[in-house]
Amino acid sequence: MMSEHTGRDPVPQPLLRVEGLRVAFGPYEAVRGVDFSIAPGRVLCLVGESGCGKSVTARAVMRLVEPAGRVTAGRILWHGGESAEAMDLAALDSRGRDMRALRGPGMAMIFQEPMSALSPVHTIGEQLTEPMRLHLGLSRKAAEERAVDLLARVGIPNPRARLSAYAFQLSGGMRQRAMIAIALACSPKLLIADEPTTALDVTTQAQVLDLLAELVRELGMAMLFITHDLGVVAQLGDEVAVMYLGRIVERAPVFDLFDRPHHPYTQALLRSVPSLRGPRPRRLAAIEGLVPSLAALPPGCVFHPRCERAAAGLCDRDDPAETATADGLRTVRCHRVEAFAS
Amino acid sequence: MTAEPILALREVTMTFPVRRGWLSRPAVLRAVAGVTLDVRPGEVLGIVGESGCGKTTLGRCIVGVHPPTSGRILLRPRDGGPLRDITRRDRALQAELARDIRMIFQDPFGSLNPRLTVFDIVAEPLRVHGEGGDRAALEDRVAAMLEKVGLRPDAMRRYPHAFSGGQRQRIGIARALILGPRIVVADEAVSALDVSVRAQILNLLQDLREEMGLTILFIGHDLGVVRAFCDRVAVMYCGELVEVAPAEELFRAPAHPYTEVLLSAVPEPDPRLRGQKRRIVLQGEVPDPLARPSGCVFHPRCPAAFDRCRNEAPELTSRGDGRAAACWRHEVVRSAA
Repeated sequence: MMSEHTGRDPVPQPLLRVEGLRVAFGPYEAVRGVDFSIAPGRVLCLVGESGCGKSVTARAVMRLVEPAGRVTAGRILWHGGESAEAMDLAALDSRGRDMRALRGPGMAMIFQEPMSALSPVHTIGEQLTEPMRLHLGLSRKAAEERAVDLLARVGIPNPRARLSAYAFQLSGGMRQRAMIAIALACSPKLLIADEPTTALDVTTQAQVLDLLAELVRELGMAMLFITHDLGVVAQLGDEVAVMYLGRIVERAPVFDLFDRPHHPYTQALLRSVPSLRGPRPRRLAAIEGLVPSLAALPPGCVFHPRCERAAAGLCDRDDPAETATADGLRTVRCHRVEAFAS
Repeated sequence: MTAEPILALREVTMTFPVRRGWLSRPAVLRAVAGVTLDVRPGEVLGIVGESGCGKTTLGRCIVGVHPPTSGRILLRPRDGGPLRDITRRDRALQAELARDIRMIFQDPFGSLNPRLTVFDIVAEPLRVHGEGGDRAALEDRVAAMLEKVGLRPDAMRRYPHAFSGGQRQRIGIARALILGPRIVVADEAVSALDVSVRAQILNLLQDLREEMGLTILFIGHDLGVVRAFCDRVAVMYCGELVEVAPAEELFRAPAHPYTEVLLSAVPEPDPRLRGQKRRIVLQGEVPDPLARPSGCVFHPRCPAAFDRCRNEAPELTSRGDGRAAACWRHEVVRSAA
């Protein structure tokens, strides 16, 4: 079967291209060579379990890992600037003027826990209008009008009254919406969302996911969406990158990935998610063993100790390279992918 | 089919006084409102609902953390015989029940004392209940229990920080099961775990349940997990039970509009369902538990509400097929299903 991604071909030129990104915290490498790109109007989901490096990757793009961590190698190519030349964000000073000018109108981020991302001592209105006045040069009055529009757009009832509300006066879902409005304040070209619905109840999560999908469609934003929930990926993503221990082990358009996962880790992850449909499983499929620590990475393929298809003398010795399928839409990092990608 | 219950809740209500600001009079928050439910021996009963629906408070009432404000909790004695009222517990009764009803907590990091070794943690219930004899005998029992939950016996010499989330949850399970309880209340016991590890722990609980004949009250919010793990499911909204049904049935054809809404909101791991799944968008928010709506608690948000729902509160009514729903429309919904 040929690949069918979401029927929005052809793939436009990327807005962001990340090549060989490595991020280290002291002696430990949390991201060990990651490549991906995102085009405007598209959603790339980075999915993986805790400690796989998905959040660190997202933060590195915003250059928010310093000073605790360091981008040690790779390029973060930004095509969203005025010039035709891409700008390498990895080469910029993380606290310098260029990077600061980019955060807000270029790229913005939303987080899992709005209560710790929102300021407790500033009103929602202050937090919304500050970036507009700073980056867009709007007057107080114009910024307030835009703030009201944005709050209404993200579905906050009675938006004008909410301008003077503090974060603690809003419910969880409303806080998450307020944070999305703040991220959208300067119409960013790229929205980075780090588990924005994980702390929400399912009905609220459904509303927030619908909202994000709508915004991407309407505004033509690109979105990098970090999650551990494959259900969310299936409902929202155009492309999916599965991460394990600091690497992308498989990347593919969303239908291809769910229809025919190639990497044994992707296959195991998909099996371990219980669905609401189909026969009820007697037992859930688990992945045996534990995620190894970054301080003691196994030799060869890092997944081999938990992989049911690992071959002795190969997977426990050689680190697999990333291979792409003929159509170039899918990449997999596995020695044995030929053997069992049916 | 309907076995005699091992645990029965009768109109259990738990209220908390809440003071909003120092000048106002305290208001009454009804966290659990008149819950009546039979728990059958050997079953896994799921209790689901969104945050603030009272599922955790209900679990705590059963374990004995809070005595309910009103209503009764009844337990079948170990030797069979008639149900015994365990609503009000003095120290002696609480100590006795602590053998029968144990709890597994959500947070594998917060629920284990970091200054105790795994041996101390798992052996503590034995010591408190004056069981187990000398150190060597205790160690034997702890070692056996650790093996049962899939940990090596030498884990007992180490401290909780040396273990991952999934391993800590195994330690919590060992502590809960070492006294050989009959009922386990698992409050979001796998919610903090990664998917691959979550499946390991659920399978472990499934094995232990068969081996030890446990009855499990599984409090959770992940409906996929609840469907796979539970025999029956009780759905709570605003402190009330709105539906109780066998898991298979509940997920196939929900009887209460709120259950339907919940199921429709779950993002399913299948991109083909994108846009096809009819998502029911709920209006408004969960009502303030201090200002409960009149009539049915769900009526202000219910897509199917009519006049009667605004004025009269429906009771949880059995539909005769092992299912019960608290909804004036359940007959209508049923015929449409």
